[in-house]
Amino acid sequence: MKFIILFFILQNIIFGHKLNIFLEDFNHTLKVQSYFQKSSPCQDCDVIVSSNGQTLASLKTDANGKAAFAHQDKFEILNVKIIAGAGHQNEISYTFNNIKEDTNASISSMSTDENPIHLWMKIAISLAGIGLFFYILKRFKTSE
Amino acid sequence: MHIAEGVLSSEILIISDAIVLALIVYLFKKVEIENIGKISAFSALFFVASFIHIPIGPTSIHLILSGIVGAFLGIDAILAIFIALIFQGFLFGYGGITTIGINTIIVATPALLGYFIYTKKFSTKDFLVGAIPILVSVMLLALVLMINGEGFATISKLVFLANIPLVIIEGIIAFFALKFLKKVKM
Repeated sequence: MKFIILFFILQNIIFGHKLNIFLEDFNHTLKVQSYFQKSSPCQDCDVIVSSNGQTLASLKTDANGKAAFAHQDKFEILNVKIIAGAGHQNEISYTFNNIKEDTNASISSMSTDENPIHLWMKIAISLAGIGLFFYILKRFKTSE
Repeated sequence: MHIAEGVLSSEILIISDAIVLALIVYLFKKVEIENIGKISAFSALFFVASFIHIPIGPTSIHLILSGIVGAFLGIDAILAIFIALIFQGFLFGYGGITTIGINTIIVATPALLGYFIYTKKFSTKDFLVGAIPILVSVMLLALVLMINGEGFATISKLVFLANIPLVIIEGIIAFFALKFLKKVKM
């Protein structure tokens, strides 16, 4: 029982630190929305938009966690980095699709660039979680 | 292959979540105790495979291995993949929580084709065990995006084309993996 409680606490800690980024490109404007888990917006967070190592814009998110970057040039790849402070940050690479001038909204891909230790920790917890789930299922089935 | 949160309309999400929930409840009741260990192992395999990225031009794709999972688990592959998708959605943002239903339908249900092909006897089946489920998943993904709205028509075509290399790669991997397993068994 202690192990189960510890497992869920660990999940919650890592889960609580996750910063999500969502991008939408429409009419030469890249809209950025950032929020933590449980949909709490990343307010007044720094947004750095860059391409090929060159910083194009430094923005701040509003009270809803949103910011917008107007672009007239065509970029192949844009990097959007959100810095929320207290060690919370996330980065996403956005590849522009070859689409018409009256552009459609694009789906973002959540590519992240996070600390390798956090990544391995999350992988380990997930694998342990999968094992734990099926162990519990087996115990439940055995007791039926 | 995973659809992120905030992309699909609520109608698609609600219907797909309800269907998958009913299916998972059925599978929970039906699963046999002696198979749980195998299902757990393949669930972990599916989970880990998503971290193997293959660069394709400016972007990259990740392995899925749903065909191999389906070949060995049959209908239990849906349960294995569903559990792995939950952890991927929670901790890594691959897909999401509200999209768990639609992602399960797109990724897990074609895995049954892997089982169906594996039970047949013909020369190219090892390749097709890996390739066909992924091809069907890609087609389902494109279809879901088109149903979602006209604004996604271009994206659905791009997504379909971008995942064609994955179909071939998964076929090749399944071919060598199944050949190796047959050799080891003998």
